[in-house]
Amino acid sequence: MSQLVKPTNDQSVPLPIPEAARQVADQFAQEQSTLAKAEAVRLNTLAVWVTHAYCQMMSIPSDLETSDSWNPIIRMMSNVADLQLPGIGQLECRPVRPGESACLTPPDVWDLRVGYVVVAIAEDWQTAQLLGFTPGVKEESLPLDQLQPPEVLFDHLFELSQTQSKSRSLTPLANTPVYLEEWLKDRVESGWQTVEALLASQPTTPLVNFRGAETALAAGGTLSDVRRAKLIDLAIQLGRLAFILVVNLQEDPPQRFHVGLQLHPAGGQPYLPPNIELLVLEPDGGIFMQAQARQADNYIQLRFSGEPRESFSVCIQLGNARFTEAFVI
Amino acid sequence: MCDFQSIQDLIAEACSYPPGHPQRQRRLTKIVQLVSKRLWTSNTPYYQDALQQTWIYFCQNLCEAKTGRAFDPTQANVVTWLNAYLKRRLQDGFIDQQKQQRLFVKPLSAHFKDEDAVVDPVDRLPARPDVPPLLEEVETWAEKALDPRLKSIRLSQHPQVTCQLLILKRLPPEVPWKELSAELQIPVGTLSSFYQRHCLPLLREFGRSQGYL
Repeated sequence: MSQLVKPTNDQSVPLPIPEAARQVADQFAQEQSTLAKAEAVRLNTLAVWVTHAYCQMMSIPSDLETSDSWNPIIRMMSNVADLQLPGIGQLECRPVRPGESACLTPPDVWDLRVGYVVVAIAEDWQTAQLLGFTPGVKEESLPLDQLQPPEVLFDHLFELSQTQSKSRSLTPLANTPVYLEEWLKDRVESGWQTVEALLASQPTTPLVNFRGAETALAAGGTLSDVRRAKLIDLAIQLGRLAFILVVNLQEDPPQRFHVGLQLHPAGGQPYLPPNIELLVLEPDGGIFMQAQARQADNYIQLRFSGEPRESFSVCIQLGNARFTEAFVI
Repeated sequence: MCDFQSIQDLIAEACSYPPGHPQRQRRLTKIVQLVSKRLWTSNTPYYQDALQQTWIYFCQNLCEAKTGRAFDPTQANVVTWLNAYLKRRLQDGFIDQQKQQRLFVKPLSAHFKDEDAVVDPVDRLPARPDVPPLLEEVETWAEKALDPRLKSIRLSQHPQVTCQLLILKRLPPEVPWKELSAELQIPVGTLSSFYQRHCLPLLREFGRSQGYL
């Protein structure tokens, strides 16, 4: 085995560093303008990657693409080694080298973190060890013997995910359908609110705009138009991901309605997780329409038309997690 | 310390909790710690990749069959099960490498020619012209205050400290926080918190507008 940092306890978790991780760390280091910065970025990148892989093993959703450490400008302008845990926050993954007895925790990362893990990167760049965890830092140096064992991280993240999901409205199982025509009479089921009211509760405001609606109005139509939004909470194993489902209903007299659906990320997330799907299902469960988020989509949408009393379901799906709600026009 | 009975008990306990439960995560971690010392080792360059795949396979199929057949403790012990998987991945890696060598006469990256050697990070640095223009772009944007908020967002009670000032100071090679703190007579934590909360969002936005994300 390689010469690793002497573990402060026998609780450290040995983890491999795959070739792909070294290549990414190399690439990120090459973007830097000074040797010192390149070295720091290389180590940060590996610590984040290794923690990301460990989170995958432990079924903790984590997202490299929306992490500051994966953002070329932020990693250049700040000494960051964060890993974004959707629905929880940024976990800082600080690297140490063999022989070091303390870990550098620069002021750049004192704030806005849900916790700190320390990862030892072996001299030969082949293996790593997750040494431990601490919930917060206030100094530039974190002595390794003050770390809590790595598994304390699990309870900490679990608690965070619980308190965060409690503060949100949990989505009840939708047994009774939502009658969209009622919306035009200003009667709205619980859980649905005006777009403005829901966005006001969000840390950042997604842009909600149905382009088709404007076109129709510009064409001189006398459309009744109503738009409502709902916070959707998808339980993805440990983590929870929040989304905003916006439904736009336009009456096109005498017997036609246009329905627009948009799915936005909530909780200040800039992007939807890749591969999340928005589906419109026929009453028999067959797929009528679907849209799927790619890398870095701010939102996805579907539009269709129907007649009064037609029914459909909207399904939001990510991996095994699923949200379904029935509607009647 | 590492008898198979205690590992079997840990497996049974781990699987009694749902995936993602902290109690399952604790036990999986314990099993990784115990089992890793008993796994097959090799010096092949793709060993760490094969090991990584093995750990993912372990966590996904120990209790539930997600990507393969679920682990059956009556058929084999967990070390035998994982070693069998690891050796297959090592074979895959060997075959892939053979294919790669046939496809490319030279290795893709000269940096990884000799995997066993301890590579000095300095050797991995590119020649100067490869440094992307990102730094210059940020510098121009900040200096000219192309986003008016660079000048308008100020540290409360210290109106001389704007996002523009901090971003220019923190452009690599950056002025250390301690030096900046002494220069401005403001605590490090106050400056860095302002930077994290108010300057990084502007930088993220600039990055998006420049197509870096």
